[in-house]
Amino acid sequence: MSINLNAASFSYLRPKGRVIKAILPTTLSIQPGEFVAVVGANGSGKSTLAKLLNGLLLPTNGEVLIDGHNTKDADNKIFAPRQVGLVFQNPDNQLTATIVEDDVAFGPENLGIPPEEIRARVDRALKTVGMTEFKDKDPHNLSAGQRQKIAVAGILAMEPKYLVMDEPTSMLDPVGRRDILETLSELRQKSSIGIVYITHIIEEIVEADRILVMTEGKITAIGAPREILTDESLMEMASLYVTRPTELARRLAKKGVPVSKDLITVEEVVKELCSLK
Amino acid sequence: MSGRSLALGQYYAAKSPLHALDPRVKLFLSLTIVTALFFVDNLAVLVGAAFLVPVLASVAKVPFKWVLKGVRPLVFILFFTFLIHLFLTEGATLFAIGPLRATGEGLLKGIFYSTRLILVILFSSFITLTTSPVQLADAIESILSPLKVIRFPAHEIALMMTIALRFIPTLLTEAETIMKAQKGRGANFDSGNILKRARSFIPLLIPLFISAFRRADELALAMEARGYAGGSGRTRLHSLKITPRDVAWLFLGLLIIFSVVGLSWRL
Ligand SMILES: Nc1ncnc2c1ncn2[C@@H]1O[C@H](COP(=O)(O)OP(=O)(O)O)[C@@H](O)[C@H]1O
Ligand SMILES: [Mg+2]
Repeated sequence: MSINLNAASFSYLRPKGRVIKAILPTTLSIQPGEFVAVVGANGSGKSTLAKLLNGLLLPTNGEVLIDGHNTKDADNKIFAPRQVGLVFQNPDNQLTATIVEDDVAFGPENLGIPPEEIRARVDRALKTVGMTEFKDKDPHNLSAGQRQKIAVAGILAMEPKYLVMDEPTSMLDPVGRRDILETLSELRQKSSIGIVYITHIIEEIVEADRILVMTEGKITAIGAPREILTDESLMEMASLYVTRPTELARRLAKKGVPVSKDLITVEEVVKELCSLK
Repeated sequence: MSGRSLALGQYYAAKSPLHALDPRVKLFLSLTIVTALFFVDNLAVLVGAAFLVPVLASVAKVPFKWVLKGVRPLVFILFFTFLIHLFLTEGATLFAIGPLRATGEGLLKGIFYSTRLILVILFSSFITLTTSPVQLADAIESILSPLKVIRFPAHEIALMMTIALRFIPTLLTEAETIMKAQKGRGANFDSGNILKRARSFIPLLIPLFISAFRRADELALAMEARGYAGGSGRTRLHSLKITPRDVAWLFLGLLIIFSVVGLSWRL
């Protein structure tokens, strides 16, 4: 059970026959329960990858298999979104109803689930994101962070096995961002859902299982956070910035302070510095 | 221009018998009430019927003030109706302003017609006050669904309604933001003649349209990602079902309406 990209690639066709290669042939496997982060500059193909993963886009070459089911098969038109949920960047443009619970119900309704089961799923999903008390409210009167949590609940109510999030925090203020991240880490603890998390905020992904770096449509590196985030030349090539703890450790090392250069979190830096004496 | 000024009978979430009533029954009853009001030709009965508004509000658990807010956007029309009757009815002169003569008959007629109009607005606002837009769209879909046989897009129309309602406040907020930004760059929206003012709205409308199209694009994608593939095979969280309680309320409603109309004819 996993999402597999087998030599999958994708090109956008432009008028006048011009072709934009957004994803170059790639082979990749994502397991349930895993937290895979995707980073890369604007236009590096992250959103295209996200849409390939849940069948919104079909690969030009190669194939994408969701638990063994090819997204290209006509029968899987509903199967793909049911298995792989996709949360977009702008919460405003993915909500469909003027009442929170009606919106969360939209996905399960599309799947043809019986009303009593929809009720149960909506309640569960709202509880998971901590928005139960807002179920009768108009999303327009909530904060952007709360609206994004409603969007997440709308996907969770479809009970997918994988959750792809395309820069879900980039339009939120710091409070909303922390809110989404906390919801996410709780979700990881309580369920075995596989998460693909696209972002350009490096601090959000220091605890990922794997980080995937994209440059100009190519997956240029896959590895553990420590491996990726401390690789200076890779980070520079992908136009990514280094986190502040890493930066601090590096500067200290340069000044001759005996600290490791591979630190990525504040806690690690604090621990290392305290053990110096 | 904030979303709140649109409060014409805006939905008020509460748990009440009126909220629980099947929206199709509500639509039918309020249509009957509005029709009935046009058959009442007695001011006293009309004023009596006005006392049903606070009663209905308390049954619906909607604050009376919130109900009255629905009339506010229409105050001008009400006032205009009143003036037309006051000055254009033949009869004994009460007072005159220039060539305009206010008559005693006009005063009575003015009061009668504006009261009727207020009641029409207030009674019909109970539909939107106690029915969420999604439920209302569902009701309309259900009422129109026999027409699906002739390929009438009942589901699509209901969905379009819901989505339009969902995006009105978003786009209004956005219009406000763009307007402020343009004002900051020296744009002027509130002076000059009508033509000039209309023209000053072009730099507001173009970005608003572009953004609306982008939103529509993203929304379509998000809906597809949530498994939307047309109306067939969909289930509903709140599926509409007429219960014995709905029938009881329907008859109670009809009874009250017909007694009021009957009373006005007897008098
Ligand atoms: N609908 C589209 N039509 C044509 N080209 C597109 C389309 N969407 C994206 N692209 C192009 O594909 C490339 C990758 O885009 P995208 O996947 O959105 O990147 P990212 O999400 O990393 O910013 C970019 O060069 C972009 O211009
Ligand atoms: Mg993107």
